[in-house]
This record gives sequence, structure tokens and C-alpha cells, in this order.
Amino acid sequence: MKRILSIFKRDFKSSVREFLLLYIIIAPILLAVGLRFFIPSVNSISLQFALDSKLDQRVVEEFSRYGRVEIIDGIEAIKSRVNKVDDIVGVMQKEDGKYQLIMEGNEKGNYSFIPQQIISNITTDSQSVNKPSIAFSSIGINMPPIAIYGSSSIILMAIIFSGMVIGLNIIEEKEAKTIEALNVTPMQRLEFIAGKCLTAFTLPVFQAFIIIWILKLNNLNYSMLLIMTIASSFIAIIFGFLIGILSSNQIAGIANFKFLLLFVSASFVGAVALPASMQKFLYWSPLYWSTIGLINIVKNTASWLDIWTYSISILGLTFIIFIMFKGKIKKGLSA
Amino acid sequence: MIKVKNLYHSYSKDQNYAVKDVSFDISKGELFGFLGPSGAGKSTTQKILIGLLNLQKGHIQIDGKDIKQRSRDIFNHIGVSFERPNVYKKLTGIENLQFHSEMFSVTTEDPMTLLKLVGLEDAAHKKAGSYSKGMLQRLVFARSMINKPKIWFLDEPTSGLDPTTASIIKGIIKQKQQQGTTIFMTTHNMHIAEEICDRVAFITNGVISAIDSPRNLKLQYGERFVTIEYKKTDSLLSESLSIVDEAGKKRINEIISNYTVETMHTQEATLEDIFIKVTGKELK
Repeated sequence: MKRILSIFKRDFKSSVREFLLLYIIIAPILLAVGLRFFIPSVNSISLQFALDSKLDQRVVEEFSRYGRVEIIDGIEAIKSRVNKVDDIVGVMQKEDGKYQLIMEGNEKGNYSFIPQQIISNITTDSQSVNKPSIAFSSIGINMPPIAIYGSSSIILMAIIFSGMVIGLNIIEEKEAKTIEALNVTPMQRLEFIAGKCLTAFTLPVFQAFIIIWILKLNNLNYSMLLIMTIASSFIAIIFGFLIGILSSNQIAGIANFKFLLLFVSASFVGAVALPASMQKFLYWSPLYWSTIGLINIVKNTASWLDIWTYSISILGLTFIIFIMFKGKIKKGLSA
Repeated sequence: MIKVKNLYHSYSKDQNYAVKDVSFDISKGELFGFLGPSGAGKSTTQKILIGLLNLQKGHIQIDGKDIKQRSRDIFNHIGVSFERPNVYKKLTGIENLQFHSEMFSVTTEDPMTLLKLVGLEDAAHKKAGSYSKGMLQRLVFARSMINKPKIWFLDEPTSGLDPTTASIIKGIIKQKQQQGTTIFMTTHNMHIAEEICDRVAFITNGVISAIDSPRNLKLQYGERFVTIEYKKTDSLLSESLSIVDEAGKKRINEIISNYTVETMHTQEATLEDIFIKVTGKELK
């Protein structure tokens, strides 16, 4: 274990000291920050209300029927919440019993109309003939597509880029012949591989959680995301080792990585854009299952059965790829 | 400590051997020099001994164990100094040694002590990428001592070093040998081999031509000469004469008796002369 951790630490240290590798590590985070500007609030497609904690429970329940509710103490705290970047309407009750809406003024559409109607519903006598008859229906989209596909593609990118980190580190070992120096120590080949793989497991998990934090995707299932990221990391590991072993230098490594990105993009675009009847043509690609899994996790529509099915598909297909290239990898690491 | 018997190796896996029927034994605590020009088969032999090349044909025992059956634990007691400076350029000198020390499961040397030993203490915290060729060579040499090896493989340890540093490295090698380390050193530097090796083997075209101590090789193959400068009438003449054969001896007596001798120097054959005489090749 000591050797595995040492190899992992060395790779990490070496990576952050090289501009290209450092860029590869932080690129998904930068992209997530960029995407955040396009989706000021991933939750803004659904209504959000900041309700004063003094409001009656009946009022809270009524607002909960139409959107996400945050209970906040006092007018100042409500104002502070409303002033944040996303669209949220503050609701409180004045001393004379009248309701007061607190808004920034730049909210999209008729953001003020709906809370007014809800308040009207609450305050109007249920027997009154003047009771407004408002009904809300959902078309099933809880999140903007840019948030769904943007976030899942960035997480997938973080996973694949971690493979590139492995690949470039192996190229460095090959170019400097440091593998030879390690091969005359008691280090087992499996320890070398495990040390390199640790990067591909920890880096994307760490990045995936930072990405969802940046994008404020607070409602998804973290355990599912963890499982899907780790399962998908196996693809990155195989790709990383192949890039490292097949490339004689960094330039060749980058060229091979570009070729690999075509494969990643095709799997992602196919999973997103192809009609359901055509999707079966992508079943051979482990990245297809990663894409589907990540999208469903972000949309919050994945079940545990789905996650295990996707994960087993990824691992099975990755294992087949590993068997195909096992000899090359083994030979490459002996050099 | 090291036994090699009928070793063959072919990179093309045919009859075109890079190493052909090589056999030698190295005792515990011996400093054994493997001498030959580039491409002679020195590095191939060493790579097979340290496991970087597979043993195709022949038998090798290291520390009493057949290398085909050895576990990787044996590397806890083996040190290898490569000719090529294969270090992590983005790590500092001390980080390189620290990382390498973590690969062993035996007590290791203090990295800074080793860096001081090879004169790299001032560059310990600089990235190895900024080191000169000589500094890199010293770093690789220091790294090979990190696990306090019982068996030490040195590939051209003084290559690219200035005379002062080379002398320091020679001193360290000699000191380690005195402490009981068995040393296998490949080199094409005959002066170093002559100076520090207990025994040497001459290898050319993958074949060993001679194995013995430098002194015995010189006694066996070398001729001792005397160079005499003497005055004959008004001119200064010089002759190199063998002090081994009778004709040479007779001529020396003749000069001493009849002329005024200005200078007289004995001259021994060098190991390089012996190498050329035995193998018919020059060391390049």
C-alpha cells in the first residue's frame, strides 16, 4: 500500500508541476464555472419561494405544492436570499395580516403572478364564487437541458481527462526510462498499475462533486454519482494506459487523445441525439452507458437498478477492451 | 555471490547473439569490472542479471538463488546505477531519492546524506530537470545506494564526470567494496578498471576473451620496457627496449657501457594495451 500511495503522490506532484497536466486537471472545473454563467440557477425552471418562518403551516404547505420552499427567519434574511443570483420570491405576512412579496425586480416572466395567485387561493373563502380557478401542470422538465447535458458532459470529460493524466505520466516514465529504475526495486507491476489507477479514481470523483457544487445540482443522488463516476473511471484507466504505452512522446500522446475524444464525443452525442430506436447501435460503447447514467443521475430519474445495469455494462465492456489490449499493456510496462 | 554460466542472448531471437557463451563467477565483496567497447554485450549482460531482459539461455545465480525463481524481494538487496540519467525531471533531487526509498521494504539511507556524499547537497531542492549531465549522473549513482545494497550494479559510473568528481565516485565505490558490497561494474574506462577492480573481464562481440586481475593480465600479456635517452657523439638518441627478452637486456647493457645515459624510465603495459593485444580491438 505504501508503494501504491507513493506512486500516486509522485504522479500528482509531477502533474501539478507541468502546465499541460495542470490544465487538464482544472479544465473541467473551469468549464463548470463557465457553464454556471449560462445557467444562473439550475433550479430556476421551477418556482422558488423564500417564506418567513412566522407564516402559518397551511401557507407553507400551499406554496410547497407549486415550487421549492425555503423557510427563512426575518425580513432581512429573506431580502438577502432574494438578492442572490437565482430567481426566488420572498413571502411574509405584515402585522395587519396582509401578505407581502419581496422580489428583486429582474425576475423572469410573470414570476410575481403565481405567488399572488397562491396567496389569493389561501385568502379567498373556499365557498366564494370569486375564487380564482388556477391549475398548474408540468411538462416533465425540471431542469434546463443546458444544465442536464452541460453538467453530465463536463463530468464525463473530467473522467476521461483523468485517463489522459495517467497516459501523460506513463509517457514521462517511458521517455525518462524511470520505469527501468522502478523495475529493479521490489515494486510489483500490480502496485505500479494500482498507483497509477488511484489518480483515475480520486481525481474524477473529486472533480465531479466540485462540478455539481459549482452548478448547484443539489438535488441529485450523490451515492449514484459516486458509483457511476468510479465505474466510468475504469474506461479512463484503460484509455490512459493505452495512450501511455502506444505513444512515444507527449505530442503523440496528445494526438492519440484527440482520436480518443472523437470516440467519447460520438458516444455522448449519439446517446443524447439519436432516437430511441437507434440507440442500440451504441450499446457496444462503455461511454454510451456512462453518458446515459450521468444524464439520468443529473435529471434525478435514475433508479438503483438502472445504475447497477449501467455500471455492469461499463465494467463488462471495459474488461473486453482490457483483454484485447492486455498483451500490449504488459509489454509496454516492461520496457 | 553471482554465478553466470553459458549465457546467451539474442535480441532477434535467432542465432545472431548479442551475448555468446558468457560465464563468470563473482565472489562476495569482489569488485568485478566488465570491460568492452560500446556494443560489446556489457549492458545486455547486466540487463539480464538485473532482470530487465529475460534470461533466454544459460544459468544465473544471484546470492545463491536461480534468477528464474527469484522473488522481487531480492531487489531489496540490489542497487543499480544506470548509465542513462533516468530520474524524474519534475521532482527535486531529494524528492527523487525519497520516492525511490519508499519502494523498498528494508531500512534505507537518509537521502540528504547520500546527496552530500556525491556533492549535490546544494542542489537537493532544485528540480532534477535543471541539473547538468554530471549532476544527473551523480543523482542516479546516489539513488543506487538508497537501499544499502549487498550487490551493486554500476553501468559506466564515471561517464560524463569531471576528474575530481570521478575521483570522489571511485572513492565511494572502493569504500563500499571494503564494507563488503559485491560490485559488478561495466565500463570502457580502462584506467578506472585498472585502478579499482579486483578482477576484470574483457568482452567483445558478446564473447569474453579474458578474465583475471589487472595485475595478472599485465603479467601474462604485458611486456615491460625501458626507455633510454643517451648521447652518441653530439646527438641525443632514444630507444625503448624490453627488459624481458635477452636481446633487449643485452642492448641496455651495451648502451650503459658505451654511452652517456641522460634519462632512463621503465614503462609498463597499460590495461588498455593488454585489451587491444587480447581482443584485437580498441576501446571506443
